[in-house]
Amino acid sequence: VQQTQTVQDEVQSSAPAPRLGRAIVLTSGKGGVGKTTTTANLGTALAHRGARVVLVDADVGLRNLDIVLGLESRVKHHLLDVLEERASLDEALVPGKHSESLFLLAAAQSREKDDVDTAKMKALISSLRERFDYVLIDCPAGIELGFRNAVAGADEAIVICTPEVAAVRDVDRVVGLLGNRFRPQLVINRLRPYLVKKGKMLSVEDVNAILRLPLLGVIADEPEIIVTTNRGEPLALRKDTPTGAAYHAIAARVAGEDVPAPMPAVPKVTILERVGALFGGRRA
Amino acid sequence: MIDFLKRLFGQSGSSTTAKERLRLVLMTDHLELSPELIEAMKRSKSTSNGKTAHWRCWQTFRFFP
Repeated sequence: VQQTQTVQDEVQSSAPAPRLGRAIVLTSGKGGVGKTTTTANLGTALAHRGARVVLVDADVGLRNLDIVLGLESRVKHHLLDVLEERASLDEALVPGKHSESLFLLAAAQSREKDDVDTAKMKALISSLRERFDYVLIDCPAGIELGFRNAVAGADEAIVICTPEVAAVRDVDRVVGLLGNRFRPQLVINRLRPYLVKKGKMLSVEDVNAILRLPLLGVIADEPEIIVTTNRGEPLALRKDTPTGAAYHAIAARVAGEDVPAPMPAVPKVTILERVGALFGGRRA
Repeated sequence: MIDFLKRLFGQSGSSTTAKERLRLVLMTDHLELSPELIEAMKRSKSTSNGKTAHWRCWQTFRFFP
């Protein structure tokens, strides 16, 4: 009997520990820089690679991730229903429209960020890590309790920054709060290469000379992102577009592949567009 | 009309202004400098090597954040 027990112990100790997924918080400090859009697109691209991905909308009271993913009509239960045990995790997880391995856990719309218990949030993220390869947490703007709850269960961070003074300042503050534990990496969003070339917008180098973070990639300010968001279809579904491909390259880098960070090219401007710009038209 | 001419002949790049403002703002944030000191630094003129005082301060700050 004792020998059998010893063998059982050996089997148990040699059995591989369950592999936990990665919990990554997408944050920025400032609002409106594209956290939710980036979360939706990065999640879509990771799921396209075959990974099991759950997107957690931690922006309690102002949920939007369901809209960007086109899942607003399918949300029956939300994050607080799970935390307060009114619904099971399986009931609350909404399968993605375009991928079988992508799921959404929506935030509560009619509640407040203060209603979230940090310890319960941490436990929830831990249980999600056991079931998914990636847990992407869409962090609310600000650095108050909503931010603290969103980062509580994460072990990595992706900071989203636009090439603006206010956004860089806020990212600098957030990175200071996060510290080294989260190994923050940077995505620069809404870059307009033409304006950078003309010296009218901060460049990638300008931003990262300040922030000094590992750069995951750069996303151009594309009108197509607005169009796809309106439709509830993340642009990452269209890998043939430059921005869709950029999200896939970022996903590959997150997954540890040695691919170059995507950089948007300066678009060719026609003579007609140049003349139009003289009269107030928008340039890329 | 003035706006049109500005567009035609090109305006000075605002990214340089953004960079300078950003450096000052972050210096203020990190070092908790008083607004008066920041104003004084903004007004400071070029030094012997052509760099402004706040630029030199920023360089120091960059290495000792």
